[in-house]
Amino acid sequence: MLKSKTFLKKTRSGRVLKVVREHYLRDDIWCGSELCVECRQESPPPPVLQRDACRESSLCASRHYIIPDTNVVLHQIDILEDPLINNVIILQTVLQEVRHRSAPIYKRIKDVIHNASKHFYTFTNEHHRETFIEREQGESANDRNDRAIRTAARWYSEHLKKAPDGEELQVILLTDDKGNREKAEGCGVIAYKCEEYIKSLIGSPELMDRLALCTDDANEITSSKILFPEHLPLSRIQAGIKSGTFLQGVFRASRDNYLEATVFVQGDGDDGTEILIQGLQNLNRAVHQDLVAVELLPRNLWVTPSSVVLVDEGPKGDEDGDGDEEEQKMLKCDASESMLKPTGKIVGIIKRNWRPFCGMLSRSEIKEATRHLFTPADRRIPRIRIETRQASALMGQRIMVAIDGWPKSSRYPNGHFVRSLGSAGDKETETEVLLLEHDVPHQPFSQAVLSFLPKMPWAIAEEDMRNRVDLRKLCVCSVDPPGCTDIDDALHCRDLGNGNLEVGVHIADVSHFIRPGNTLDQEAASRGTTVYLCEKRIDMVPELLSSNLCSLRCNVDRLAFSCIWEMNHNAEIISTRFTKSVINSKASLTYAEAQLRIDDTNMNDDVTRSLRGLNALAKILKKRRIDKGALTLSSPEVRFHMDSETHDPIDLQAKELKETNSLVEEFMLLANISVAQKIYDEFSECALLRKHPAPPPSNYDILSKAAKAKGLVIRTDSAKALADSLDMAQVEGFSYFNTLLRILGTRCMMQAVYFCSGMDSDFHHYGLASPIYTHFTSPIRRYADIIVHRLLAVAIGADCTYSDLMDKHKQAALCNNLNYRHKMAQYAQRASVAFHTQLFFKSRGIQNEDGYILFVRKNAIIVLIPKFGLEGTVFFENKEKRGPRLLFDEEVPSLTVEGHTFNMFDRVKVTISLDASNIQHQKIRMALLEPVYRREHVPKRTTGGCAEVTREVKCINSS
Amino acid sequence: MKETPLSNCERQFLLKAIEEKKRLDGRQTYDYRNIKITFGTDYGCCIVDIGKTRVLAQVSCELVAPKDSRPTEGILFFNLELSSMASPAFESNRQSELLVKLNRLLERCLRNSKCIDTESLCVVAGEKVWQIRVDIHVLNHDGNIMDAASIAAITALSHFRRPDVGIQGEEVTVYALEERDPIPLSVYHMPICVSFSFFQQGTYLLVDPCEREERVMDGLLVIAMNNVKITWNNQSGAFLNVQKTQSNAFHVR
Repeated sequence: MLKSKTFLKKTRSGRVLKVVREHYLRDDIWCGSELCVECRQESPPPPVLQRDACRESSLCASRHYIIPDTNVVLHQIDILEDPLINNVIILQTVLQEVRHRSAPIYKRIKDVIHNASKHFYTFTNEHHRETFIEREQGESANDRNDRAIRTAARWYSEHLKKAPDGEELQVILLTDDKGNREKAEGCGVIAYKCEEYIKSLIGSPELMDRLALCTDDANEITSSKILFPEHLPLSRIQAGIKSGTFLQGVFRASRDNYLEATVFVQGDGDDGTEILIQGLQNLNRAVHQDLVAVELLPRNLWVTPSSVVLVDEGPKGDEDGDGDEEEQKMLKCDASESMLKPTGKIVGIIKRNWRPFCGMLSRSEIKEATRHLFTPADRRIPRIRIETRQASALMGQRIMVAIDGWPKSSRYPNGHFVRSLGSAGDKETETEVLLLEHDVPHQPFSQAVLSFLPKMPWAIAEEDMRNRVDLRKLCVCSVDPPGCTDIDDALHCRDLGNGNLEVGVHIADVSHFIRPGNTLDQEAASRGTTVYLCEKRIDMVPELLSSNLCSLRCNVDRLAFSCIWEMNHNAEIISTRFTKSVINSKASLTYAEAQLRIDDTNMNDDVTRSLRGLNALAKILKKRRIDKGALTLSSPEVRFHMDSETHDPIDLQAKELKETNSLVEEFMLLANISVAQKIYDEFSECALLRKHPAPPPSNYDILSKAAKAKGLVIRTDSAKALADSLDMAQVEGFSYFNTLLRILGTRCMMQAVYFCSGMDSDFHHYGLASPIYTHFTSPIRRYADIIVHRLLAVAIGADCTYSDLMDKHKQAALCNNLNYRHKMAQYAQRASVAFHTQLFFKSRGIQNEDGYILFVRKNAIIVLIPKFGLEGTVFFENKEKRGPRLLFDEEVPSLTVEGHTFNMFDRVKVTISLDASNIQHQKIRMALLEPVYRREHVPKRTTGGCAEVTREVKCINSS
Repeated sequence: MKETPLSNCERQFLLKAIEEKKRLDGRQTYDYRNIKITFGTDYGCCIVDIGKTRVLAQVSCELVAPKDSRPTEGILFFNLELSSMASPAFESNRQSELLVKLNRLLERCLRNSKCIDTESLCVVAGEKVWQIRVDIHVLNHDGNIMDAASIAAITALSHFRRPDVGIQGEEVTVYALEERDPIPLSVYHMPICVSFSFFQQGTYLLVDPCEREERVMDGLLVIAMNNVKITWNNQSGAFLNVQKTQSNAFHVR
């Protein structure tokens, strides 16, 4: 033992720790050269460094070994990997530094060392008696390492001289550091600049191309390279926002391109502007959903959003910025002045909006490392570096990670492991992941919530009957999808004898059980909606209410809120009445059962007659609504047939709609409109309504362009015009064309939203062509309906009011949450369908299907397969190999690939299979079968240029 | 109070009995006494009885700053106490050799075996982590405290629930037990100690010694094992030590 270092250290908790480090040296470490006779051991491994270490160089004519320093290894690893370079001594000091600074390069140099034909020798100079040096007073760690390298180099050259015919063997130190080189020469070591040496090599000019451009001698080791600009302090941000130099907005990362994002700046009222942010530096460590401050760039630096798809992948260390730069170049595209978007850079973060993220661990390439990169499932979230000692156990598992911070010297944010969700690909795990990723509150109801449930056995009490009408004698029935346990609506229809009909819609009286302000109410308000997944339902209210006490099941007394109209046979409303009631449903039917009853002329019981009456009225109502300009749009919806044992999907079918579906729908719409009118009349300031804004004309561009290509005109000036022109749009021999147009039409629409009548002036519901609308009919699964129930109850004097109900600001805040939850629920639903589609294709194997091109992008087309409602992106180029020649015409839009032009709505044939190579992002892989395009640089015509078609169907579904 | 000494007569009687494969309570050599586990009303509370030996474990948690060396890991803390309630020979608040050994064994059995995932106990790296504290009280001592304590500790840890924590941006919320269902610890495996005592220089071996037997034994071997079939000898080289006769002492090393 040469050295024992003892020092005392104070820990955070205040205790004093004594650390003893011992460093052992030996004198039997072999130099590794074939020449050397001195340090041979009894049974040596075969020598690594050859006797004839020959490389013709104009700088040193004789045989020589190379010793690169740390920076040379880090920057010129490409050169070192070249088969031409051999007989290299890698010092332990260098290896340790490399490992510390860049894991990927460490991996590469290790690979090179293991390659016997390269003759790379690792010399453990730190444990060799003669080459070990101690750090001197005032010497920095880097300087000490440089000195250690020089010492080792000198030792080698002297050591080898002692060997027989070692005279002509030289040892060359390669370093780009000027100071180091001078010092090395001062102590008799031959040192060259890496560039100098490579240039001198005779007969290998191609190596020059691989030489990485190194700025110059100033390039020194700094382990804390600053990658990002500093964030401004909050005070300066606030001052900047006030003065208008900065803008405040929500950061939204792009799903397809990790180098691009937008910041949504809320303007006055509903509208806002989007500011484009491009490039790592400008993104400046903002994470999706953060509240940030942006500074606009001067107009000459504005750019257009690229339609390139870029995924941040590959083993990148901290310092590895080369790949990023290359990709940043890809973003640049010349575009006309008109396409330029306001572009800015992030100057500071006002509020982080980090949550725990789901994803998987990408293990570090160094086996025993504790720092690993975590790849989130949501592609808008950057990869996160975490520290864990159980990486091997966590591989293949879905885990949750929280971000702790993002220092400016780090390429990725730092985080920590939160918990494991189970192994990837499992149905339970994946369901959990998609619920978490869509922020769907799904933990079991807490004790505090459950304590507000009514005690069982429950029966209607005397005081419940106050302000309530007994409608138990009416012949009420419910019609729902099969297997539905949360029945929230029931209907009846009877002849009044005066030539008119009485129609009643009875809605479960949930607000009777959920009293305002208690924990149960708060929980329901926070959940906002029940979420239906393919095989699971996440309830908004506890099951006792949703499936029992509130569910309007047949043959039990249930509390209801009824909306009763007197109508004539032309479905014109004569009078409307709202009342709380008690009903006793006579039948719980499915859509199919109800349809059978209506169609079966032999059946003539009360329920059937009631259904027939409703059906006749519904048809009139529907026609009237469509005449007024209600839209019928289409979205490909599918239904899975599940195996009852394994719950795996065994078949996939497009959803079918029956007449009875629209029967129920018409009366629900009518009830909603009637209630909306009533609560608005009563409370003009605080009625909770639902609106569907008319989309801005520019939204229809894609639809008009697509139709124009087929020689049709779509009029979009009003809903009515749109509905009519959609009806007219037919192409001979292309029956699916109309549906495609309607699917596209759906994408043009705005999202319908809840709002408080006191906060807005535009109430119009565009899709339903109704001047006013709300949600009243599903209080079991939507919280908005509960509020509407409460408002209506107050309006008819059946219940008392409370302060929050009449506060329009509180209600606006509630609406925001409800809108958010509804959106997320929708995404979660789609993701669940996508996951089950994957399971389905996993069991099905490879399939060939017909599809249509739905959109055309710059480097890809998006294909829809109507049979499965499946949508996939087809990329025509990828990063590794040069793709075919592409020509994108934004005006049509069309994409020309090697002479073949792809237009929207073109029919294509693809093969579909499941690509499970990446467990986290399992893909439905498609390959284009028809039409076939040919690549020019492929000499022989192979099976046809197959474009790689991938579609990621995991947690998040775009749009 | 000092331990009442064992008379030579009784010692010889005990050893003779063991020689004749008889035990005081009528057990066979490899018979274990009956184990009873009772759970309390609180999360993380359980009482383990092995024969007349009775041990109570209570798990609690609090938010603390992590260790500098492990900023992303929670802390597991074990504290076994021998009160004079268990045996008049035990003195409260005194670091006896036995106490230190038991605590050390417990740590080796439960912390070093990484049966509890401490990484998921991190709330904010470098700032706040959960410290899980396991307090073990020996209520009655009739030998084999180690086995009882290890069972009590791991059962209590599995039974324990910590409050849920929500992270939104840089804000951390700790939810009350009523607000959100508390979270169980992630228990990777359940190591359990089994003690063997040696008599007459290792000629005879008994499992689960009772208090009387412990007083005449020459050595003790504790093996911690789990259901994943990873066995590790808690006292490496214990056998060697056992050969060397040491009167009436635990052999930890």
